[in-house]
Amino acid sequence: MLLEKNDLEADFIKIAEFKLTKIYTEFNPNENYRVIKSYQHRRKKLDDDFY
Amino acid sequence: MEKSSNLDLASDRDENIQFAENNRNYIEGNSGNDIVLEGNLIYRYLSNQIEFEGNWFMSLDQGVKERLSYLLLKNHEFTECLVNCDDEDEKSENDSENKYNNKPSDSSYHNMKIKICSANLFECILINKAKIFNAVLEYLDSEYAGYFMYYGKTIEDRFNLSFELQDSLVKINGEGTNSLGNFSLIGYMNFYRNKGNQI
Repeated sequence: MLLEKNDLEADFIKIAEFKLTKIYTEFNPNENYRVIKSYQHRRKKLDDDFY
Repeated sequence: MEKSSNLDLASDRDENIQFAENNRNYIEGNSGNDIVLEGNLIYRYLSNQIEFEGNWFMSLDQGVKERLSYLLLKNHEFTECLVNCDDEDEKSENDSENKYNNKPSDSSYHNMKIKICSANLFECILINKAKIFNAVLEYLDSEYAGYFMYYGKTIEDRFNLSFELQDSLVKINGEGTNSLGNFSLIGYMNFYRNKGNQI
């Protein structure tokens, strides 16, 4: 299984696979708003520059 | 073919906006749209590092996947595992081996100490001994740090994970923090071992 999952030429070896669920127990809406607004601003600027 | 695109400023706008909307709904309390992290635990030869590498996505919108990468912070430490033939779960096996090999049944004969570290982790999981495998999990019980991409920004995560073997399944629990808040992690890990090996 270990060999099946790995390319011997690669510079890393896969040891395991994982699946996790992330649940925010405390959330900072102001920081989230800031990140999203920053993204929208950059997006709009790119669109404006394009057109 | 699986639809997989990164949320970046050059990709399709409608898709990005939908992703943002889904994420906002989740964060504002709508249930049923979990943040899912998936990928591989890897060992990088050149940097001698154990790393979680993969993607995260919203469970209701798996079309947009973002990168994540976390390093085990104690890569240069090691965990000692003493394998003793007097251990109850291994005694009968070793007794039969001694008989077969005509070796003395000295309790110290098969004692050995294994130092588990990043460089030999992938070899240790191939050894078919529950005690060694548990020591591997103990080694991985640690603090991790890294990043994930969020709206084109790199958000730094720092969290502790604990691993537990339950019914041949390695369960993971953890808690962490980033600039967006505090979070808990829950999930599982499937180790790649050779065929026939059983935990």
